[in-house]
Amino acid sequence: MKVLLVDDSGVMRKIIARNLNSLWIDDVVEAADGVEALEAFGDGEGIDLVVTDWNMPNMNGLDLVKTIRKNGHKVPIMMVTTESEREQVLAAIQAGVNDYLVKPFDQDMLTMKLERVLPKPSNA
Amino acid sequence: MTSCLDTDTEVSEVVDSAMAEVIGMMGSDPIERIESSRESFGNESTEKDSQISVIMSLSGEKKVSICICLAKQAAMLWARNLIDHETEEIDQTVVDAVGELGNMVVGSAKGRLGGTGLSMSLPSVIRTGLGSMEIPSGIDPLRTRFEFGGHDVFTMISVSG
Repeated sequence: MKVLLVDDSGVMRKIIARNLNSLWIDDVVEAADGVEALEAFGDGEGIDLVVTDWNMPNMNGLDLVKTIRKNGHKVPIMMVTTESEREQVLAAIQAGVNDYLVKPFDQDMLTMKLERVLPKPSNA
Repeated sequence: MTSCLDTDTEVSEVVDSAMAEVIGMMGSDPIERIESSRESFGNESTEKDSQISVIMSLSGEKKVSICICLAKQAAMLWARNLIDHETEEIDQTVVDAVGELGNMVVGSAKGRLGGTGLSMSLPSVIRTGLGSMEIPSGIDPLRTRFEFGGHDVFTMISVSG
């Protein structure tokens, strides 16, 4: 399974990638902003999950989500962000995210949410 | 929820709580608030890489400037706690970790301050401490000193508008 991981923080990408690798995900494609993410996403072929931050340079995570959904892609999307206000969460859900995790987060919570949003392969 | 940005003392209390939450949740060493002051604590360095600082702002009805300054050992301890990164020097991973600390602390503080009317800047990291920073006239920041794993961490907060 392949995951597209989008965050301008290299450290945060390491933390989330480590959690993904501890599950059944060994193919993680990283991007540092929404523009890079769209290039990596392409036509969405083979991408099983997108995990994205919100506040990033060039293109933020909310605009990334809106663009993916506007192009008709139904890939699961999880947002991992410091934005915690009710209005922000609602905006993200309305844009099309499937789950939302606020930073700072407990590592077990991240793992649980990743497990829930990503379908388990039959041999995992 | 309305924004609560009337004084730097109020903002500082919120940032203090956010620091404790972030470091407690993402790290393993505890952080302890020691004291606050309008004056320099006297041990703020000017030497490059003896301290490292992340600077961010919140903008809305008022403007808030938040600087978090870590002693070199505190920054390396934070990077070790966050992602098991071992280093003897401040490298790019430590810089990234300090930037992310600013991001999470100010993001958490923004939420507690009733922040839908507030926008948060991207973090800027500088490899120097509060001793190298000059404060423009008319700005009177509130400084707080913490201890993290036995090493100094400072915040400096200004509110205007």
